[in-house]
Amino acid sequence: MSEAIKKKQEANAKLDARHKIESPWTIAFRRLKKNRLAMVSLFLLCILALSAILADVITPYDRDQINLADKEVRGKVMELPIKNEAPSSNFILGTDELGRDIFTRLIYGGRISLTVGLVAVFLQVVIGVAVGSAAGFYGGIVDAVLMRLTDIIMCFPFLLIAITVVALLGPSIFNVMFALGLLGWTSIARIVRGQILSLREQEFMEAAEALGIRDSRKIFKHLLPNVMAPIIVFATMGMANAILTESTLSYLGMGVTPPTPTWGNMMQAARSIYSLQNQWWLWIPPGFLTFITVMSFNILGDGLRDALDPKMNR
Amino acid sequence: MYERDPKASDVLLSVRGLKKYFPIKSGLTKKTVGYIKAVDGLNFDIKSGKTFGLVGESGCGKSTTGRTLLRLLEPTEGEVIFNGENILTYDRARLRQLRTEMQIIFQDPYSSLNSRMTVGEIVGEALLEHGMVKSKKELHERVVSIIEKCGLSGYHMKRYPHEFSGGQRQRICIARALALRPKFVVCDEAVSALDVSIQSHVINLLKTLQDDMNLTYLFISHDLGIVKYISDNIGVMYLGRIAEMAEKNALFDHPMHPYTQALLSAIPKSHPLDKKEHIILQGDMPSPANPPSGCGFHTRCPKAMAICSREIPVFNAVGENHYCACHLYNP
Repeated sequence: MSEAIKKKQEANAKLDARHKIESPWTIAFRRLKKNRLAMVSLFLLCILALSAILADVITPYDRDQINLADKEVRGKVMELPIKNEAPSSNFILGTDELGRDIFTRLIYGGRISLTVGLVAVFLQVVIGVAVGSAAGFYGGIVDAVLMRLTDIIMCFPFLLIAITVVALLGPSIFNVMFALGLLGWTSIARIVRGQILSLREQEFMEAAEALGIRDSRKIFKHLLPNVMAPIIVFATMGMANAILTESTLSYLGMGVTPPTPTWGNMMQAARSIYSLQNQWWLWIPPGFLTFITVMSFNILGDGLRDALDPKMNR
Repeated sequence: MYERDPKASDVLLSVRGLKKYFPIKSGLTKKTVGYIKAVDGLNFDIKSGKTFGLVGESGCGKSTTGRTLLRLLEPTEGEVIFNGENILTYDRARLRQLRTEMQIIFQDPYSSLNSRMTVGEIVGEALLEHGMVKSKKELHERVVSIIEKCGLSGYHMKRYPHEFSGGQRQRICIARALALRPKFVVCDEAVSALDVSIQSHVINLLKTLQDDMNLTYLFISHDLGIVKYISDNIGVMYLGRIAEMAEKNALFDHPMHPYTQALLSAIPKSHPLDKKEHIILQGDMPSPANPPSGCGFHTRCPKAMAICSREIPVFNAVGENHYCACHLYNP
């Protein structure tokens, strides 16, 4: 071999050794960063999450504090709640029908809505992944039983069941979370099962079998990392759904109960025509925030789906 | 009849009467309406340290044979004797132990590597699973040594499969299979998916590793040239059965079975002035779900006789270590 060729090979080897290692996750994140709309959504969600965490610090009043002011009633000066006051420098989004600061309650409401969404989606993912991977991996009778169970739960009309649960157990934040979690896992179970069914036939699973890898390791190390992408996408979109459903339930008075604020029960103010026409600050801010949050989660989910799709080139 | 001692000392793996039928199910009740006879009674021996080549057209049952030997598919019938023991009687625990001695290399270097694991994890996983290493340091050393043996570098360990080319990926597959230091490796079309230039690299790597680690190969391929280069003995399969089996030079110089003769005549000539007769077979291979009566090849055989459609030919010795299943040579 001539000197020149040798030198070139050495240079190539050096170049190769300096190659930057990129895991499939890094590549996906790099692709996500190019999606401007998704990044804006992510930014908005970060702000929301941060404000929910720091609610105690950034809010000017206590959550349930009823603000009073001296007022003259029939010649006497009395301390009365400042009810339904329009936004001013004291109350930047005004006060509600009991005299509480709307901005403060909005931030705390975000905390509740996000928590409910997170816990519900976490429950959905845990149950869905467990059911879906067991059904897909073991197949046969296990698959048949688990999938029929999934079909049955899918047939339940969600709102009806949720309202029944609330009627039986009483409205509370925990009942909302559990109703959402225990009824919403079916689609993720189906997705995971389908993915595992197709992955199981790939040669790397046959290789794992030939290497004598245990079933538990096959599921957790080989199969689940490969279905993470659809799980993440589903979880993101599921957050939007859970927040929306929680709002609906709370609006109907079937979810989180006052005085705990959520965007849903704050929008109850819109039930009166007078408020709807004259007191926009009661219902527009919570409605707008719900809209922004749900929209952001959906756009981020879309972006994640594109970024995580291995068939899309960089 | 094929009669050899399956427990002879120089034989590592013997197959006797191996059959694999896939049931065809149809209808709502999943009633079995028939069988695809993918492998229908195989007999052969592989000597320790040697390579047995299995050739045949696609769909003839080569890959099914390879997978059945490792019990990745459960055979319908027959015996697989490895190290003097019939492994088909093994329970799960013993089968798991056996995994350290028998390995397989697959055809597709893309789908056979888990894209979410690094090369180090892929190669080292089985070592951890079987408790063959005591410390992280030992694991690292063994993984590095095996991937270097397979022509990669130690720093490749932390990379993911998508960062490698097809040939490099196949080297990772080889490293994964050999990390356990097996005695017997099934190479299932191990080079068919690669470029011709890379094929030769990988084939030579397999040969070097065989000498280094005293490996025994079952080399499955449809490429006669490659099989001739790497094998010591060759079996030609047709429709789930072995048509002819011989030492490689005997097979290439004096093919006996009409199917082997037709196959060999299809190899492109190496010199334009070489005179070679082309035997062109008519039609396609019959479906293994509905094989023809008698000899499976009689529908396409240029030398078919009346008896061929009636009786299945016996797998007989026609020379030293040369076996052929054809009525032409039946006494």
